[in-house]
Amino acid sequence: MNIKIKLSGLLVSAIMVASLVGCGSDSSSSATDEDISSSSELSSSSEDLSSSSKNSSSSGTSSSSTEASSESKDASSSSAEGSSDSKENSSSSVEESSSSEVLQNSVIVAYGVDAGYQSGELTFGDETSAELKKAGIDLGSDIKLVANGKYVYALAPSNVTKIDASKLSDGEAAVSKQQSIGDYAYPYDIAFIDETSGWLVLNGRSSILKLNLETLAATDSIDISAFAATTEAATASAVAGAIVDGKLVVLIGRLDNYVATKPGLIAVFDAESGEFQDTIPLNTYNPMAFAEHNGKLLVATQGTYNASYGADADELRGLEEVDLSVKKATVLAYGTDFGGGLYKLAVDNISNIAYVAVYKSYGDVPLVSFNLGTKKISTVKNIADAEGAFYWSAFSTILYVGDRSYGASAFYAYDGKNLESLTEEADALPSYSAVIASW
Amino acid sequence: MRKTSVQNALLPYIFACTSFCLIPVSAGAADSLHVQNLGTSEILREEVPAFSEEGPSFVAIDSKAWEGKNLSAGELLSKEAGIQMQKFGGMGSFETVSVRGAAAKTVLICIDGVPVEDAGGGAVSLGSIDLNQVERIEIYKSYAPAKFGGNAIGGVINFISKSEAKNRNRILASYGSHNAYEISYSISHELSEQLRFSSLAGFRHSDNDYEFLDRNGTKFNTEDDTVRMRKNADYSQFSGTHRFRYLHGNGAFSNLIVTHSNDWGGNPGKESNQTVIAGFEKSLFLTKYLWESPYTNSVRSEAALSGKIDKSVSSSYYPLDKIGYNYNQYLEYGSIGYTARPEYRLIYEPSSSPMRPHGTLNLSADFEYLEDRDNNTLGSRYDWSLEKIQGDAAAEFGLSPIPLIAIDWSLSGRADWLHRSEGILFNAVSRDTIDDEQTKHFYWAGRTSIRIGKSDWPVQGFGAVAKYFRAPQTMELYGVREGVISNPDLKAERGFNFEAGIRASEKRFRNSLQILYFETHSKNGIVWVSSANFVKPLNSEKTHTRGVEVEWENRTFAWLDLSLKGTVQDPRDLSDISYYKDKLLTNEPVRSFHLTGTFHLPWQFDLTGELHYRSRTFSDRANRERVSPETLLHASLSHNFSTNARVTFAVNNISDEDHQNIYDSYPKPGREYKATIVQDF
Repeated sequence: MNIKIKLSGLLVSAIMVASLVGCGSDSSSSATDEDISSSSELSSSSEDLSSSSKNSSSSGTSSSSTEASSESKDASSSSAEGSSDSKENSSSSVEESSSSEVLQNSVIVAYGVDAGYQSGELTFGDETSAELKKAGIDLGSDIKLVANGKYVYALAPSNVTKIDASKLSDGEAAVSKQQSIGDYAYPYDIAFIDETSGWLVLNGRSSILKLNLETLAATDSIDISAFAATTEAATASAVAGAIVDGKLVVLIGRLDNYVATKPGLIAVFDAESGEFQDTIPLNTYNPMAFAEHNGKLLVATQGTYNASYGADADELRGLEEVDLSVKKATVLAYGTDFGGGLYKLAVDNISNIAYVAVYKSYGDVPLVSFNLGTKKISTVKNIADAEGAFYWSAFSTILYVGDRSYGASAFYAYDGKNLESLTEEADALPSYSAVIASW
Repeated sequence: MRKTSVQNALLPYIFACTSFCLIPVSAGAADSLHVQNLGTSEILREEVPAFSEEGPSFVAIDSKAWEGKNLSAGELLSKEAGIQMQKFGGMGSFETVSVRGAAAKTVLICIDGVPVEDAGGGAVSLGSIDLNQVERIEIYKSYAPAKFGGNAIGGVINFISKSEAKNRNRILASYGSHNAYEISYSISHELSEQLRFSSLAGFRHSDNDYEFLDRNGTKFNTEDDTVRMRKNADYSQFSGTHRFRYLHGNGAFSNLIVTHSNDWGGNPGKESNQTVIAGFEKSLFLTKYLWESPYTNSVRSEAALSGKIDKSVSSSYYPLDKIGYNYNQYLEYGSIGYTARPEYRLIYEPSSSPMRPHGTLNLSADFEYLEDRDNNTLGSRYDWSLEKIQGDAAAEFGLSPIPLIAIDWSLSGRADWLHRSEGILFNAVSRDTIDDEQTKHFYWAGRTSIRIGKSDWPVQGFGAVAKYFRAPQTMELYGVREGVISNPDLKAERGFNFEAGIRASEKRFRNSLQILYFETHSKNGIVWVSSANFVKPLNSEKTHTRGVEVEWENRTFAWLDLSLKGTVQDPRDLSDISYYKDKLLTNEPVRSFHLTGTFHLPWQFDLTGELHYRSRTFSDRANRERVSPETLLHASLSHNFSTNARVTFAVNNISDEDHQNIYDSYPKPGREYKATIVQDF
């Protein structure tokens, strides 16, 4: 059962942190950060880095990550505002918000997938309890979740399922709608315009579909085949989308037969009409995720693979900051700083921390934090394969991260200092994707 | 009832028969070795059903059991206790069997004694075996006789090509649902007193265009469910074996055997994702010289040298076929292999000796070269080649210290050396190279069995314990495909098998009963583990299956034969991985049985009804994807004409069942009809 709590931005965050830390679970572990490089090293490595450092420290008024931001906008404006506040004024924000007495639920909805990609299962739990239980909804084995308010959208290779998170206790009754979108279209993301429509980003097609979120029917589409790396490439390899300042922003990988031969690209469209507006080329290769931060976009790129399918620590990959207003992408840190390619990204807009999963080689994917103010890079210990769920909650200010290490998988909540395992059923599948649904 | 002659006293007769037989082979290698040893198969209806002399784990199925009945090899095998089948479509589709909980890839599939392997490291598909060209199937459950080596945790299934022991010429033709037809011939001709020629060939085809319910992959949206026609699932095969057999003046024989097989067809994809032009083509050409020494009172030997070319290529076009690699151009990916195999075998079988000692020594080697056959830069990461040299030695010895007890031992060993070439990656941003690698391995296996009680006693007891291995396959050690990570450090999977039981027969009501308890343990099982965008084979699976097999046959009435074969088992995954631990093994039911009744009607009519049941299974290791229990009904009616012709009409899956999990569904044909005529002359 979901537990209703009084939510107000950082108040909930404080409750969450207190409850998680206070639980004193046996599975909790102190995750001492391990410094990789200092801000001075980074700033000396690139002029762009130093300038971006100034920008990020001087701004810091935007909301959360792309994944988080869409929920924040639709789910709770007060939450989003609270999230966007800087640490200095967070206490006043708490007081203001707590007086509003808004009743809210924030529920973790996660999808677990086994190591052989044969099995999958949906789990859920209230953020306050940090305890996940099975939803009893069988959706297959390759599911990515996105959320918009209380609705969670399960993106399967060939279909989309809309799930009412407020009814997850009722099992399959929580499924509101399911719609096929074509064989192996591989939807990767939904950029939510509002509660009734959104753009579905397809990786398996060179198109983006505008969905009626009630019926899940496509009402419009955008052809992005012109952005493919070559005419022989099957698709443009779109990987993510978001609505930023009324514009649809799409992250495009531009892979040519699974190889990143060209730097990534950001394409901008009108959010309503889908009319093409502009592109912004990235500096590095194979973008995997982006997130909104201080009115700009942070982009994580993984780069190319070496002969052993590892990602070398070089300048073909890294973390970039994209200023949509001036149409420029700047590298904040390269793969040489992170030790590999960036596989996943989530941004804590309160503490100005970008969390990235750094893919080094098969099974070696540590969780690394990047301080957007100081440019300090630290590795969070005790996570070996952070390729699973990766989501920062604006409500609890917790990073949920799935360690899919074979034989030692775990689903963690990380508050910036401590790692704590979420309570799962004994045979829970390793987390693959997770979101926060709120209402 | 079949009667298999293997007793020492019958060896001269066996040798006489097989010496003049010509042994065509279907899609595989040819080797008369095992036909000689095991003798000919006769269909004789005995008063009391007889047990196999080979032991409780051995079953031989004669061609009469499937001729005209529209059964694939896997379907036929799954009638036996302890054997479970998995099939992915109609004629020619991929199908496998597991034995006593041992995964399909651990079951050694042989054609005339020569192992068949899947180049991709998986299980061999039984769907490409044309039963019309098979005379007999030998099933060794959890048991690998020395002549097959020890690479067989689940045991051995050996398909014996049609024997010409009866000097029989035959034509077979059939037609059935979905434009399925088969035609084959076998002829045998004595060119001179010393030289005999035989030839066997067949063609079979099915459009496999059956109807099925397409759930569109949307379990929670039944509005888009539609009945569709299976597309791009056609299958064709042409295969044959041709042989010259020459009798030397000293009594030895020389055999020259040529075998060929071509399979081609569509690759239809899953239920909700049918393809348009995806397909495959497999070709095999094998030639073999076999020398057989003159028979003496106790010792004989055989030597052979064979060469094989084996090519397998799949194709797809992603804009139409949403399978395989996401690539805009027509893709072909596959490999071609060249193998040379010398063999030597020494057989010691005295016709009369105290304690009835007997034994065999088997030596063989394989020299294999494999390289890519791709038209693209995805099917292979670079221009690769693999080399393998493998040597096998196996010995088997048995005796009866007292008439009441027979004991057999076997011990086998394998050493191999594998080498993967170096090369420059096709899809490299820079000129990345893959270094060459090589590994060496040694494996061993052994078995001890005991039988208590004379063969003519009404009750016998038996027991066996064995340790086998499954060597990592080349593609598991050295993956060369996009997204596959090599693991040259893989160890062999180890298997431990145990069985004990009794069997009894009585003459008054003509019953026979066999009850057997078995255990199959395996560890270091090789599974493909995904991380990020890649898969890598790891030694991580551990399983344990224990169960009971029951086989009962009854011939109380002259007009009715009854047979019941059932299994109750507990097939468990003992992996250390929490979400796999203690789960039921994939595709393994707890209960299964097969009931057969044959009515011998007047005017040479036989009516056979079959009921096949298996309890619910799971299509995934973590037991999230459930498959409901399955009950299948089959029937066939056959008539023998006085002109040596036999006509059979068969209906399979009368109730039109197809139980598959929506997320792992390859539609199967449902109800099918087939008419067959066989003419001997």
